[in-house]
Amino acid sequence: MAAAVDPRQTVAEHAGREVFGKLTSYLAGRYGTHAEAEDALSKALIAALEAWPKTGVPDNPAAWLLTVARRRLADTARRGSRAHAAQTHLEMIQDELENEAMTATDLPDRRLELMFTCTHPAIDRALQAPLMLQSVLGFDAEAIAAAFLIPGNTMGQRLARAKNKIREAAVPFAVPDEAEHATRLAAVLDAIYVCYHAGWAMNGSGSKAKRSEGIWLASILLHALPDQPEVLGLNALLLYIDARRETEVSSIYIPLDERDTRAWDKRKIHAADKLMAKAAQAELPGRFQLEAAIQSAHCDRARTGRTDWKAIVGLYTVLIRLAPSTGSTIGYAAALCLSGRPDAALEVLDALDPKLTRDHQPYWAVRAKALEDNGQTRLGVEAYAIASGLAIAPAEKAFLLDRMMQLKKNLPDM
Amino acid sequence: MQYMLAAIETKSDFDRRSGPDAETYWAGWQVYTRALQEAGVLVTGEALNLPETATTVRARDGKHVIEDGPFSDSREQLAGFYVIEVSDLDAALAWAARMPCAESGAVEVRPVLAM
Repeated sequence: MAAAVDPRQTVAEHAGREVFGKLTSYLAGRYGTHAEAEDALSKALIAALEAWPKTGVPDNPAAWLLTVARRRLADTARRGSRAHAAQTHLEMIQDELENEAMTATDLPDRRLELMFTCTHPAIDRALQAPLMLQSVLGFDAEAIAAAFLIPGNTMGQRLARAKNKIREAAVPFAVPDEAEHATRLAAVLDAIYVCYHAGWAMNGSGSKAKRSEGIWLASILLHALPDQPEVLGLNALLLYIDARRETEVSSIYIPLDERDTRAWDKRKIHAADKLMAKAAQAELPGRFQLEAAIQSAHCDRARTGRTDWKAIVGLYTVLIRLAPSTGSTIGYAAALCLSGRPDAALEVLDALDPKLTRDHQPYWAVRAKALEDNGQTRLGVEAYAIASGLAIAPAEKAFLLDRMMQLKKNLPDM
Repeated sequence: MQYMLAAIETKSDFDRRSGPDAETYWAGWQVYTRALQEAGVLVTGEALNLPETATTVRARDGKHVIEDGPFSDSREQLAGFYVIEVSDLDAALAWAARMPCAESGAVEVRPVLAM
C-alpha cells in the first residue's frame, strides 16, 4: 500500500517546482546557463519543500527562493569569482522582479526555451531527459540517478559536464525556427516520454504521486504550444496510461485486457479524449497521436466491454511505418496475436534483429504468448522461462512463471 | 563566440586532391571559404598538407620520441581548420554542415577558449 500523500506537501511541491523552472529559465535567458546560480536555487528549493508544507506557500515564492539562494551563495562567493557572478545575477533578477512588482503568476515563463536547450542535439541524448528534470523541475542529481539506475555522483558529474558544455559552447537558449522546429520538438517530446517512464520505474512500488514528472513537463509544453498536434498527442498518451496506473501498481500482474476497468480514472480518460479531438483537427498524424490512439482503444473497453484488437492492429500498422522501433514492432506483434493471428505475430517477431531482442523482456513475453496460441508448446514453455527470468517487477515475474508452469502441464511426459 | 571548425577527411577525400576531379575538390573548398568571407564570419583558416607529411613529437623521460605520421592512426584525419566568429553553437553548426568534408568525413566544432 502506497503511503498517503500529504496534500500540503503536494501544494508546496507544485508551487516550488513551478517557480523554480520559471526562475532558472529566466536566468538562462538573461545570463546564459549558470550552474552555480542554478545550484543555489535548487538548494533553496530543497529548503522550500521542507518549510512550505508547515508554513504554507509564501505570497511571493520567487522572492523567497531568490533570497535563500543568495544567502547560500554569499558564503561561497568569497571563495570563487563564479559564485560571485552567480550571486550578482540572482540579485539583479530579484531587483527586476521587485521593480516590476512581479509575483509567481506573472513571472515570465521561458521554460519552453529551456526545454529546447536541454534537448539540443549537441547534448548527449542519454542526458537530455535528466537535464530537463533538473533544470525545469529542480530535481536533484540523486533522485534523477535513482530513476535512471546509475550512481548519484556519476549522474551529478554528467549533468555538470552537460551544463558546462551548454555554457562554454554557447548552446542557444531559443525556440528553433520553422525549418528546425519539427525535429527539435520531436526531441523534446521524446525526452518528456523518457522522464515519464523513468518516474514509473523509480516509483513502481512507492508513492504514486511522484510519477507525475513526465505529465508535468508535458503540460508545461502544452501550455506553451497549445495547438501542436504531437504535443496534444503526448499529453493524451500520458493521461490514458496514467488513468489506469491505479490498477497497475497492484502486487498481482493482470494483463491489460483483463484488468478491472472500474478502477480507471474516467476524468483523465475524458480529458485525454478531448485533447485527441483537438489534435485530430490538424490532420497531421504523428507517433504520439498514434500511440495515444492505441491507448485510447484500450481504454475504450471501459465503455464497450471488449478490446477491439483489429482496430489496434490497424493503428500499429500505421505507427510502425511512421516511427519504426523495436517497441512498436513488439506491440504490433502482441496485437496480432491477441486478434487471433499468432502465426503472423511470430513472423513479425522473427524479423527483428536478435541482437536487440536477446535480453528484451517484452519480446520474450509476447513471443511466449504467440507460441502458446500457435500450439508450439515446447518452445512456448522455453520462451516463458526466458521472459520470467528477464522480468524485473516481481508481479510480472510471478505471472510469467505461472504461465510457464500451466503450459508445461500440456507437454507429454518425457 | 569564436569556434574552430576542424575539417576531418577520409583517405579517399585526401586522394581527390590530386586525382582526376582535383579541380572540383578544390573548387568546393574555395566556394565554401568565399561564403565564409562574404558572411563576414571568417577569422582565420588554413588547409593542411597530407597526413603522411606529418611528424609527431612526444617528450618522455627527458627524451624526445619522434615518429613519422599523424598523432593518431585513425582512418579519418585532420585536413584543415577554420576559426569563425558567430553568435552561438547553432550558427557554428550550420556552417559546419556546409563544409565539403561533412558529407564524407566529419567536422569537429569546438569553442575557442577565451583567454
